[in-house]
Amino acid sequence: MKTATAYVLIAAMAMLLVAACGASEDAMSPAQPAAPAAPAPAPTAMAGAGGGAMMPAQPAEAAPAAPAPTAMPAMPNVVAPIAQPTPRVYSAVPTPMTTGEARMGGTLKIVPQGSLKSVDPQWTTLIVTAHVARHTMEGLFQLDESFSPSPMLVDNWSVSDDGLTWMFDLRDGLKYHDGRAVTASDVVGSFDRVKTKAGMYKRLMGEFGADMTADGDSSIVITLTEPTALVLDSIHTNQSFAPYVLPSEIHTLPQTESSQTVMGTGPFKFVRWAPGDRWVAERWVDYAKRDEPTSALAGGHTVYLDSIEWIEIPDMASRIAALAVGQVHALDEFKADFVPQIKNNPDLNLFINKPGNGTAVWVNHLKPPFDDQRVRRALQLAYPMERALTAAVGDPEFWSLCTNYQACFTRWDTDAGSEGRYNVQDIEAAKALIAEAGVEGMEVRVMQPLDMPVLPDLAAVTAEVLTELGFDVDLQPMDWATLGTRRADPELWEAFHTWSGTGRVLGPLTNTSLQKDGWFNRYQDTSGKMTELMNRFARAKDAEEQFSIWEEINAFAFEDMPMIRIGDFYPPLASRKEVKGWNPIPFPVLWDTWLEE
Amino acid sequence: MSVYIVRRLLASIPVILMVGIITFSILHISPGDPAVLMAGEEATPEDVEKMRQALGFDKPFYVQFGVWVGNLLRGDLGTSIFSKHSIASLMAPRLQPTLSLGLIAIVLSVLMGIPMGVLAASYAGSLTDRGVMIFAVLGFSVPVFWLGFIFIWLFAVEARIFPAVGFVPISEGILPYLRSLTLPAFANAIPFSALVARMTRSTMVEVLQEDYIRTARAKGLAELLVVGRHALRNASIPIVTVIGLVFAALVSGAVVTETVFAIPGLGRLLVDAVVRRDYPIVQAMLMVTAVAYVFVNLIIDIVYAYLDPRIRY
Repeated sequence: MKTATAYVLIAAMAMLLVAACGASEDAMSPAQPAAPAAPAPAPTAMAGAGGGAMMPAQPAEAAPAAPAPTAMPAMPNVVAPIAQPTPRVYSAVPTPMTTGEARMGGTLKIVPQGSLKSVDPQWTTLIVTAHVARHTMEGLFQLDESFSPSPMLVDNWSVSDDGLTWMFDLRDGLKYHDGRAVTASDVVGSFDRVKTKAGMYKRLMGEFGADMTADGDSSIVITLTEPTALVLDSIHTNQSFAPYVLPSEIHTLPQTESSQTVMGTGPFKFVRWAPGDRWVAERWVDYAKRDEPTSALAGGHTVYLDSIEWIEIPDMASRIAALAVGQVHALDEFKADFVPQIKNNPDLNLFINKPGNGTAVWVNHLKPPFDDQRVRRALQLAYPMERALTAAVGDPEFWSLCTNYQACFTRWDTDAGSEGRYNVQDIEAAKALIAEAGVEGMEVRVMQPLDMPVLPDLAAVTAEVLTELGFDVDLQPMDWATLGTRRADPELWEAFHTWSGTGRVLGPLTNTSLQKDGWFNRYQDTSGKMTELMNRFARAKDAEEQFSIWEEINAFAFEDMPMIRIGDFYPPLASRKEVKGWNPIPFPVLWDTWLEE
Repeated sequence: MSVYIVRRLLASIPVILMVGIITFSILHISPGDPAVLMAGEEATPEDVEKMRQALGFDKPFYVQFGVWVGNLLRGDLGTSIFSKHSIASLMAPRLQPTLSLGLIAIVLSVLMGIPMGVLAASYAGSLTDRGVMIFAVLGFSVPVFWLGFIFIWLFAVEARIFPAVGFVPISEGILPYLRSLTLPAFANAIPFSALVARMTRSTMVEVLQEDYIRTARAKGLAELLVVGRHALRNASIPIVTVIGLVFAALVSGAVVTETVFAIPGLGRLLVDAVVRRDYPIVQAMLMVTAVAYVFVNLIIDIVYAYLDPRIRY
């Protein structure tokens, strides 16, 4: 009987072990963004960790021109939207282009990078929720391939001579998936729901006194107290808590309450959601398509597929296997470690999300030692950017050094202020600064989220560098949920890592880590220069002036270091060869995509 | 017996209550705040506080606990913080995959483990015995996720016999249903069959040395009957104990297997909830697991009485 008892104990321990293994296994799979994505870092749709949303650069050509405003007077206070320069062409792999004729029908199965927890994009910034929204909902303006806001539900718009009144007319015949007409009051209600959350719209209201009202059933008026060129940049859907236009039963919910209903005007109609398993949408036959060619999220979208299924497969290796045997047709972002298996399989296509994600060391500006600019400078001077990215990502095809605080391979490319400061690895100079600041031996707590990709290795490298500089480093392993809670209390940490996503490409105003007190780093901008530069940027008249001010911002960021910039990394995506027309960079949307028999 | 069962059921109430108090307490003192996760990356402390109020997390611990127990007594397991679905509605569709996987795995474990154990015990010290024990040690030592990946690679990617991932409900056909469960069930069954084999061997070796076995052989009874009728039945109590505990573990969610094979079962529901700090789901799942263990233990005790008439309650 003793033997039996012993075996029972062994069995119980085994079961506990199995449960424990299971937890860690799952946790290593992006959630999601949280995962994990961007996890939280990257799992955010537009506002990544740094507050910026990031969008992969399009290996592309000039975007089709959007219809111009009907009135755009030339005047001192120019309020015209700032045209975004055509992005430079960058692509690590050629986009598998489509040949042959598009074919109607079929169900495309794709694996998202994390688990869907809510279908309300005005309640969460998770990228998996953004996928639902992009396919089923639409906003006044959406981003095209050049990351410029392009009209979607708007037909035409005009601006008053003084630049203080903007009027937008909705397109005729817009309907929700249940057949109800879209009204101007829905637009006002939808923006009202997120007015305290949506990054750029919040700024438009706060700094420029924006007020949105309905004028009849199909027109919207925005009045300002000060002219600005940022209006269109503030009302498109690529911002946190995206202002999609939603019917009254959704937009009247408090923003803190997640909607259970998916109802929009998008080209796909939401069918069902089995939490933890999949969500399904089908082609909406009554979709009111725009006339312009499709361009990223903008333009006229053609849906060839009968339906799409976003199927959750938590384990990365299992995703690759499912793609290889044809159980699914495509994968959203996955770990670069699995790229060789895609490259070696002639049935599969590989895509690389460039400009991908930007990462840095986020330091706590409210406490010693990093409240001292000399200590931040020391870490910057000592930090081995290449070694960190190699440790965290691996193959250099999937990362790059980056000398700007937004995103490389975009219109923000500059090295202003970085010379002699970025990736110099001057340990002696760094140690001298530490000695000067008198912080040798001070305890530094580095939070290390073990359930996220990339970040644990960055934390390990940072801990190593700080140890070399003479700090008493406490490398604290935890999960992302714990890190998310602890970073909100500046008393509990000195450094952590995350990444920011697509929003980076939209410019420094969405990069809350660069703003005074803007994000968890609680950057203090003691000189006030960054705030002044941001205000100038917000009032720039054109793209050229924007870029000029941006270079000043970048140079000052390298001087004052809101965070210690490390570089960018580029998650891969994949599809089977029978998937045609799909170009998932910058957004893995499934219109203009078909399945070849 | 019925008095015993009622007494056991009543005795399980404080056990389950204790589980409830402990899990509720641990979850609420553990780091990680769902309000922070829900409020989003750009949330201010004020946003987080509003979210906490909206979720009721600003109330004292005992009030939250009282509300939860009250709802539980009314049969309301609660609502997911994130998806806003009722937990019962989240668990219901996951019962079929988890129970199916658990039942098939347990059947496979028993079908593989007991014959191997009997064989090893019958030829104790022989090469057969050592072979079975090597399998048992290896089978129990190999991580389930590794077995899962090997099975996927061999039988899905290379041989294309079984699907790599996913679960097909039985309503879509018995064959697709069984095909979808074959690899995960074997991945789950191998470690447990190894455990059952070791347990069976160990107890059978003891029993086979008893006097009544020698008597049975002396009477000229066929070895198959000696082993099968006289020895195995008397060796079965610890085996049943192990099988019962394995069953309880499997029905409360085979987390690793469900993750590797992307089976939307209870185990994944629990892990997702832990990662997200979706407290109501974690609490409900732990309660369900506790209840499963209590009932499985009760059933094991009843089976004891059936297997050994000397046991009376």
